[in-house]
Amino acid sequence: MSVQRGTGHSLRGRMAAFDDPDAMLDALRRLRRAGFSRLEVYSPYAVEGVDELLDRRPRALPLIVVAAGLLGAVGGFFLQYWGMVLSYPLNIGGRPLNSWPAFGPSTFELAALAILLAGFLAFCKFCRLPRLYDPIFDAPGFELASQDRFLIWIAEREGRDDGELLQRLLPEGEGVRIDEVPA
Amino acid sequence: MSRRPLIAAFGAALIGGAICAVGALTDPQAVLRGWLASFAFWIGLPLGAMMLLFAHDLTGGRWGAAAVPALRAMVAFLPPMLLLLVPVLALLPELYPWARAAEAAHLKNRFYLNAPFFYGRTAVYAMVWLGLALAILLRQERARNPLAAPGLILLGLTVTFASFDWFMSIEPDWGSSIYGMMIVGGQLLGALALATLAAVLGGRTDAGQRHDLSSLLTTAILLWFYLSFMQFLIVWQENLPQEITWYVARLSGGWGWAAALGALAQGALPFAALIWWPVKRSRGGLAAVCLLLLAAHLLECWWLILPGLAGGFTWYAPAAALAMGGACMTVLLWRLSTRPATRPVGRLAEEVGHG
Repeated sequence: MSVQRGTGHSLRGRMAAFDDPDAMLDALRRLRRAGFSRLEVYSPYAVEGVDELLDRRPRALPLIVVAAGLLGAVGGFFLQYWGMVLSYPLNIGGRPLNSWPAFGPSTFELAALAILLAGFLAFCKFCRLPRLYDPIFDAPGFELASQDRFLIWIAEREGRDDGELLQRLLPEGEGVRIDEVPA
Repeated sequence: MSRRPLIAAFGAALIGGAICAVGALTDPQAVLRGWLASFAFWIGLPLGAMMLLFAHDLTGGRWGAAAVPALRAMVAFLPPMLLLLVPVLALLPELYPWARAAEAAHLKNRFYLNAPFFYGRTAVYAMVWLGLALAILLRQERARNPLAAPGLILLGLTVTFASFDWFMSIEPDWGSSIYGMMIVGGQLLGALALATLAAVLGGRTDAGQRHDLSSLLTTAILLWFYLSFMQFLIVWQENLPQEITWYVARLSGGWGWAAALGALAQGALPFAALIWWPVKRSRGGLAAVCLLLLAAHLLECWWLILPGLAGGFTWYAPAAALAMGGACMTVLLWRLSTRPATRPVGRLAEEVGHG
């Protein structure tokens, strides 16, 4: 079975479902302490603390947004500077050709546009959004992740039988249900 | 509690006051213009604090648990600051051209700018503000103030007109309708920066509260910058002789550098620092940004007032800032020492958090 980088759900694994986010976070902490590293969380809304536990600090997105903002601001200002000073100099009301205060609002708008477009596209990319199907969707009860359950997917570790360890870490009942996820 | 900070604050007030008193014997106009410029900074703190407290009464939020005690303490600056306006009120002709008969002759707005009406309006502002301050300080911290919404409306109106009267009318030919809100924006920014600084240094904040306070500071910076820049943009675009002179005085010579420094230190620099989350959540970073904002806001107040008066910058402005700061801190420390907090801070924080 091929393993696709980023998703990993063509791996076999187990799915644990929790009724509330705090229980899910506790379980996630126990799993990390026990050495599980290939984990994924599915929840109806973003739960604070999950990214840190999964070692997924969003480092790239802020940088992309700042870079897009700078590019948009510089490009927006240059667009007006080029039009008003270099390409078609026009004396308006005796003001200097480089009327930078008047360029301000459009510079800001173009920076905001660049931030929104680049940020939205980068966000989609990081969410793997154009990909509309994932094998994990076939797991029983997965649709609850978009309703009221908090799911942790635990990849099967090669050459090890973690069944007992997982039984200990994630005791079933009390809002916890564990399913095998086929490859 | 040690008496040493109280004595230091009182000493600062005495030293600053003595410099201004001695100066007043030789050059009363210079002392008064420095006095008014620094007054614009210090009166903004209690007014901004009252607006933030009312806003928190209406919206809630976990930042309140950290900032509300400091904001309530700042409201106590109001009575001493109103007393410190008396020298300006007593010597109106020294500062305000409309109060000098010869210069006022050509003014069309004398129906509004005349001494009796000016005193009457100032008395109304003082009464409204003192009433609202009492309504804030006499209530328990955890209870929502029913005066919050009407109080905000009253403050918006009175602070706008007070800034027209006290600060804008030093140049009675010039007018800008955005001026009042621009002053309010600076006051909100100053009060929030001081409250955040006090909360961070007092060690009462957790990372989440620091995050929220930083986000609010970012908003305050944007609001102040937007209002200030819009006034500049409109006046600059119109380029009318009676309007642009306000900016000519404030952008020529050393004041141009002060304007650039203010735009950097109260706008671009703290904004860039606060959108970077390691600064946003750290104690030291946030405290440094707040100090920078307060210093830049004091500079902005001097920049707004001093170039509009004959003589420009004066060293009595820092002396007056010292005197007023000392007086405010004396009141604050005296209030803390005579009325110690009986409830533990932890419980207080919890109550305010649920409020």
